[in-house]
Amino acid sequence: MRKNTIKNKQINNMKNTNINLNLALLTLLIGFSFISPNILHAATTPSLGDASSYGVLSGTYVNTNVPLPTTINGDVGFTTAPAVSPLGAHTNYGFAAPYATAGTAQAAALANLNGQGCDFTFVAPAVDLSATVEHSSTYSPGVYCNTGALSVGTTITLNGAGTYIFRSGGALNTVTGSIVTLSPGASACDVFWTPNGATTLNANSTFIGTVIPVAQDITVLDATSWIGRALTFGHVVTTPDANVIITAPNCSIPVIPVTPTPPITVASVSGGGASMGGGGGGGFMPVYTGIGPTGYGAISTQGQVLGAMTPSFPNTGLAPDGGTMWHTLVLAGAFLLLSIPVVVVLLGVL
Amino acid sequence: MLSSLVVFFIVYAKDPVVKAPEILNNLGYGIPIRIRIPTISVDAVVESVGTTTKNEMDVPKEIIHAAWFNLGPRPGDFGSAVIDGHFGWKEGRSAVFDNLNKLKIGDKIYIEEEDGVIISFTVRELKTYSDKENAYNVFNSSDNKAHLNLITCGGVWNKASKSYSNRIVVFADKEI
Repeated sequence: MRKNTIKNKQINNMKNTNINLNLALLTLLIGFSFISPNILHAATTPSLGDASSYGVLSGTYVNTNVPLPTTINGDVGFTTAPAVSPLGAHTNYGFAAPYATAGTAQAAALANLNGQGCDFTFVAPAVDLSATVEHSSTYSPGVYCNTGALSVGTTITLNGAGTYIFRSGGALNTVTGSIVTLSPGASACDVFWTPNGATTLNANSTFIGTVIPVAQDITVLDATSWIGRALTFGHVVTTPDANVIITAPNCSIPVIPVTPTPPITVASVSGGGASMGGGGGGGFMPVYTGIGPTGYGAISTQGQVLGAMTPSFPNTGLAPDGGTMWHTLVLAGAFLLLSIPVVVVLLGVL
Repeated sequence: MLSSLVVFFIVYAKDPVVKAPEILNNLGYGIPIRIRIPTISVDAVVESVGTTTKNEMDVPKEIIHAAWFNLGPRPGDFGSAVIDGHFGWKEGRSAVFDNLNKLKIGDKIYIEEEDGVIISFTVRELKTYSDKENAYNVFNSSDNKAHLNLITCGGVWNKASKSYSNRIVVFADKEI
């Protein structure tokens, strides 16, 4: 009896040990999956061909410019025109060439993007990219997939050079005031969103990248700033509200250094109140001289809008000697004023 | 003597406190023509300037005027619009941005543009640079938002270079 009891205890101990070992191993595996860096395959940026110059590529483009105008810096393609043309620089506007080949290029790019394997697949049906446990709102280059919808709730950061592909089985939405931002090295040229559902960028969103839905519409609401492209050939792009700006990144120019080159010697361009490059009239587009096609200045492959030239600080200081004499007079006058009643009192006493 | 001093103070005293202008509308971004900063009693004409032969941003002709850098964005446009103004005294008059360093975060700056529209900005940050420091971040931004940056001098006067040692920069953001 006693032997059996001892033996049972031994067996139980072994069982417990096995369970503990298994639990420890499981814990290690789970922990490893959280703490180890994601080992991502290299996602690649597809060629956009003739679609690359378009800020909006659609079948129907809806735009009213009410109460404030929308600006599209890039070509605008459609077969059904908007009620009011957007502002901005468009080399191609409407359905003339290269509209049709742009549509073909868009389809090829989408096939390429959706053919790249997922580096990370979200589990939840609908995912807010700014609130995932695994990424803490910062993403490295790679292909991120979800069977359901994707959204940007607050801010996400795309960190580092490389291609980012966000593929959702449902809609793509950004919450009002949300931000997609790039860390150094990342480029708007290399960010792609391929939802299989409608895209809605809500008001005051700051968004980056090229959106190519499988076969759905794109809506961009009030005061959204978007460096990228709305490519949905044959479908509807809508900018129904106010002050939307979409700027197609120019991805063909060489990288421009973030730090400026040594000062450029230029002839004096000021004087007489005349402005150089200030442009005439009102309007909403900044007008600069000698600047890239978007009208906002050269755009680097990082998708940044750079000034055409960066001057040194102005010399706004006035020589302090210029005021010395007057300072002296002021002080002397104040002294005299204050001393008069003292003198009077003294004279009275005497 | 006393009456002369009184006249002196009347003529050369600083402007009375300027009330904040009524915001008419924030449509459109024309060329700026006037700047108002109520908390430091600035109400000044804005000239339009480019660069000097030394590739420095140029300065206003009048010490009581400010100047907008016309090779950059207009105030209200995306990017960093830049306005500078003199610091110091000349002929008994104080320069437009003598008190720029007294601005505080949250103070308002109003730009009136050529069509009469007033655009308001809120001070976000004050920063001091040396006069030879790289000014890239003052003249450029890449966040697709509208900024207004004000520049003036500060620090110690250098007789040889005829320049102050520092530049005071006020960074402000357009109110939505």
